[in-house]
Parts: sequence; structure tokens; C-alpha cells
Amino acid sequence: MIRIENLVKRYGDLVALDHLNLEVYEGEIFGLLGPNGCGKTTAISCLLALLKYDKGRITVFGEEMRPDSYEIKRKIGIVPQDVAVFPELSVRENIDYFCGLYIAEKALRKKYVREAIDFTGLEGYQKMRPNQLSGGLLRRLNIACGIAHKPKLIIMDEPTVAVDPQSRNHILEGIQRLNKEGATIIYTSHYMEEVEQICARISILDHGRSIATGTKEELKRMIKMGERITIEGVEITSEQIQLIRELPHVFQTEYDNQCLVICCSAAKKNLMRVLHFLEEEEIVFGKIFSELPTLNDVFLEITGTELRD
Amino acid sequence: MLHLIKYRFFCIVREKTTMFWGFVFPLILCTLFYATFGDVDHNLECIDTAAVVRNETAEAKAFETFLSAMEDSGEDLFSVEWTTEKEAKEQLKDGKISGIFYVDTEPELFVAGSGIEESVLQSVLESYMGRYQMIQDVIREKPEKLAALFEQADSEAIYEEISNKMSTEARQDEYVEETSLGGKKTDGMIQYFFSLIGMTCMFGCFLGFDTVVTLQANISPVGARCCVSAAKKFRLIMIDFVLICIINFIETIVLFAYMTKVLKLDMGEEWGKNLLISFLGCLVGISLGILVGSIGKWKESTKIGIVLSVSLGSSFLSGLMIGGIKGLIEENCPIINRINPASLISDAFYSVAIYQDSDRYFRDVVTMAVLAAVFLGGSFLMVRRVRYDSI
Repeated sequence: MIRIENLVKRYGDLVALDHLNLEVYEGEIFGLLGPNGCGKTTAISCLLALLKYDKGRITVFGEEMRPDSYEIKRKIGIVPQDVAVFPELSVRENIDYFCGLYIAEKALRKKYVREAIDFTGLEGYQKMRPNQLSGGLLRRLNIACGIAHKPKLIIMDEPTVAVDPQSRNHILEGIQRLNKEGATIIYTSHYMEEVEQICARISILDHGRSIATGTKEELKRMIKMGERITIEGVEITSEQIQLIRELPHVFQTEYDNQCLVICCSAAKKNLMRVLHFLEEEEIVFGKIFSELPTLNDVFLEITGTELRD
Repeated sequence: MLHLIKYRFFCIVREKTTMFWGFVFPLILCTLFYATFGDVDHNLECIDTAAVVRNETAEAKAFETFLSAMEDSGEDLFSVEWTTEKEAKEQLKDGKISGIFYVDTEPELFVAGSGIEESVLQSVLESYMGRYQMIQDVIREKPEKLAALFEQADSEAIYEEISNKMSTEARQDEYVEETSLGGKKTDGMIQYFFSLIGMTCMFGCFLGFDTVVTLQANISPVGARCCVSAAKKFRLIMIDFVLICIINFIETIVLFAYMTKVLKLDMGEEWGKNLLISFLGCLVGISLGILVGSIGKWKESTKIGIVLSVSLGSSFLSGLMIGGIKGLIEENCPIINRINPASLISDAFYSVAIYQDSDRYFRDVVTMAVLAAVFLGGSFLMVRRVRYDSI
């Protein structure tokens, strides 16, 4: 549905997008994950023909995207990072206005507006002005304005920034519902949990480049770490730590402030082996748990920095 | 389409700041002008002057006759003491007189200060010179109109003109540099109110600017949303353009109605022409705002600064704030008056109400229409299918 090939965008000496390649398939929720400033919004802006770019090619629905590609734009809904509504219009009026940029027929538009209001849970706030809404409700209005015309492709640029957990869940559930109803969604975020929760495929961006693309499982398989075992409230000697490092599949340990983190490659019974060792050495500990690698681990291992840096 | 117009109309009229500056502020300013300057004509005292005859040529004799006629007109505008140059200079030095007229082939005025009285004396001389030049022009180009001209050039008409100038100067108003052959009399402060209408029209700049900035993807999130929508940007701008033209036009009509119906000011009788001037004034103001808003890479704050400078600068140069500016420009760089929107607006009103000069009125309205077309054309080229360097 979308193909971005060798996209280069420079702001003076700064290379915002460095030969970016992406492909989004119909019907999926595609996540663009990366730290602030990695080029997510720039990529979206180029995709929407808002920004000039220096090199590359972008096709949407099989056609080159240009500022006057109105037929392509008709099938796209955008939920920008900044709330984009008119402060002088009520909730309903805003949705009706933006829906009207796509749908001319009054009866159909009325139906779509009502559905968008229901979808975003804004029934009780229809006559309110945006400045009377909370941050979460404002974000929902922002979404409603972007999806009311029932686009086939929805681009959401960090739609949950500065949103309370309740509204965030509401938004994420809504996105999944839109996808089930047939919309293809591009979702950008620097919150890895969100991307991991809803996206079928993910591309991790760093310094304007896609450093890894795939399903979350594929991404996690790309790195060495398969399991992270954390032991809290533990007193342990350096000799004992050295012995743990020599256990099968353990490739890294960190000990700090009575907390021991053991990184293992993917293998069965890693946790059992560590527990057995603790028992044999009669090491007392408060809590032990095991985690699968996160996208942050993927990012950390590929780039050497934390995703949220 | 209609519902887009409806909602954009709501957006504009619900914006309280815009409505205040467009509707309320001109009414307040108008009321203040009226309250402040209402009685100024009656507060001016007779100005003492001296006159020194330097030459006996026909031109000098004509000026001597003019001064005598002015003094004998029965209106206490100024008194003239015919004396020698030495005595006149002593009196001027002692502050007994405000200026010395030199009766010569080319009359001169000598003053010791730069107050209102000196300014009025200067205007007396300029008025005389203007009329003298006009007569010369009429003799040269349209001798058949000479009789009509002399009918107008009685002392009462001259007094009227100088009196207008005097009260105008007293209010720091601009210099009325031409005299009507239509014989129309008017209160000097009317010029102020014409400039006020010009200013209201120029406030359309802000409406135009807001409109186009709202639709710029690199400045406003709403603009970004609109730019990626299926609606053509030009269409959205045109919707707003038509709306704000109507709103700005209504603002000027309300102001006009307030001046004529409530304050009972004589703004002339040709309503059709006045409405056309108002409409074209709004059009020029709005299109200028749209042009500035459309200019590429500048930040919004920079653009706001430009709009403010242009609209207030235009009003300033038209004489709304400091009297004499327009006349000064007319003498030194008349092209500015020919293209300054606020000057064109006030000049067009004056051409209708005071000068009754159709050619001048026509020139002003055509210039306004051309300016609006140029501004809009430039804006169109800048916003058409634009892709931004950064957002």
C-alpha cells in the first residue's frame, strides 16, 4: 500500500532521513518506533507530500504522492501529533468540518460524524469547545477529526502524547478496532509498549534510518538476548557472579544495589539453572523474575543507546 | 461547500479579538475623535502677522490683494500689519507676531517657530500658491473653465479652505493639498474620519493574514490537516476570502452608518461610490494580509510583525496619526500616496465628498482594484501546490 524508497531529507547539514526504506502492507498496523528526533514525523510529512525531500520515491496506493494527489488524499486520514482543531468550533462542529473536507453528501456526513463521536466516546461532549476538554478528550477529538470520513489508510503521529492511562487505553483499543474494520494504520510513537501492544510489524528508526523492520518476534530474534533474569535483594560475591557468568547461555551480568541482572541467550530452562545455582550456593534473595526482551533491548543492542534517550 | 462556509464563518465571528479590533475599536476611536475634536474650530484665536512688500510686480500685487482680502473677510483668522522688514523682524523676535509674509514675485513666509500658528500660516501661503498655480493651469489647459474657477475663488471660499486647514492642523491632521472646483465645503475633521475608515479597511489585513496562516501547514496544525485533506487549498482560501471580505465590508458599513446616522457627520451624499471605496479598501487590506501570510519561510511572529507594520504604517502615511504626512509625501514622493492603500482609501473618499473629482476617484478605485489583484495573484502563486522545507 505504501512504499518509501531511498528517502533522503536534509535540513541544512542535518540529515533527517537517510536513505529510508519502508513498505506498509494493506490491512496491517505498522509501527514506526524511535526516539524523539529520529525522523518519524519527517517521514510522515514527506509521505503526505507536505515536505519537500531531497531524494527518493514515495508511492501510496500504487501512485506517486504529490501535493495535488487529491484522490489519494481522499483515502487517507491523519491524526497529527499536535491537536489540530478549531478552538472556536464545538466538538461536533469540528468533526463535521473536517469530515466535510472529504464527504460532500450531507446525510452521509451526518452518519459518519455520529459514528466518529460514538467511536471516540465523545457523546457527552458534543457541544463543548476544545478548551473545555481535558487532554485525553482533546486527543480523542483529534482522532475523531482524522477518522470520521472512514479512510482506508490512517496515519497516527504519536496520538497518545501527554494522555492519561485511561484515555490511552481507549485510544489504543480504538486503533485496533479501526484496523479490524479494514483500515491500514501507520502508528508512530516513542512508547515501545504501545507499539508492541498494537503493531503487527514495526520499523525502528534511528538518525533517519530504519535500523530494523519486522514483527516484534522477528525483531527480538535479531538480538543476542533471549531472556533477562532479575534477582532483587540479593547479597552475592564477585566470585559467585563469575560462576553465574559461566552458566550455559549466560552472556552478561550486572550487579548493583543488591540487584543482579543476568542476560541469557534464547534457551530453555535458563531460570531453572539460575535457581539451582542459587540453591547450591545457599544465596538468599528477595525476589526473582524472568522477562523476555523488549523492543528497547532490541534498540539498545543495535544502537548502543536506550530508546528513550 | 456550504457547511464549510458556515463553520469558517463561525470560526471568524467567534474570535473575540478579531471582532473587537474590527467592529468595536473603530467605533470607540471614532467616538473619541468626535468627542475630542468636536469644538476645535471655535477654540482658535486670531493669528498676528506682519507683511513686508519687497516687490511691485503683478504677481506680488496679487499676493498683496490676497492678504488684504483675507484680513478683510470678517473672519478672525489672522491680522496683518503692513510694515518694514526691520520692524517686522523685531516684532517676530519679541513674539508679538507669529510670522512675516514677504510680498514678492514669489511670496515667502518667515516664521520663528514650528507651532500650530506657524503651520496655519504656512498653509495660508501654500493655499494661495496652490490656487495661483491652479489658475495658471486652467488658463493654459482649460481656459473655458476660468469663469467657474473665479466664481469659487471668493474670499469666503478661501477662508473656508484655510479655516479647514487651521482646524485640521490644530488636530495634527494632514494637509489638504488640493482645492475642489466643485465648491463643496466640509468640516476639517472629516479627514480624520475618512482615514479611520481607511484604517478599518486596513484591519482586513489581519483577517486575511489569519486566514492564510490557519491554512499553512508549516505554521498551524489545522493547516497541516487541511493540506493533507481532499479539499483544494485554493478553494479553502477562497471560502475564507469571500467570508472575510463580507465581514470586513460590514465592519466599514457599520462604522460609516455610525458616523453618518449617530454622529451626524457629513460624509458626502454619494453612497454608491462610498460603498465601492469601502469594499475595494477591504479587498486591498485583506489581500495584502493574505499575501504577507503566504510568504514562504518566515515564522508566524515575523509575519505578524510585517502585517502590523504594513497596516499601521499605511495608516500613518495616510495621515491618521500625524498631520501633514500625506502632504509631505505628496510633495516629495507622490508615488507612495499613489500606492499606499490607506492613502488611496481616504483620498478616494475625499475625491467624492470634497473634491468631487471623478478622475481622481476613478484613479484611486482602479489602483485599489489593481493592488488587490496583484496581492491575490502573488498569494496564489505562493500557496499553490506548495511543499514546505520544514514543518
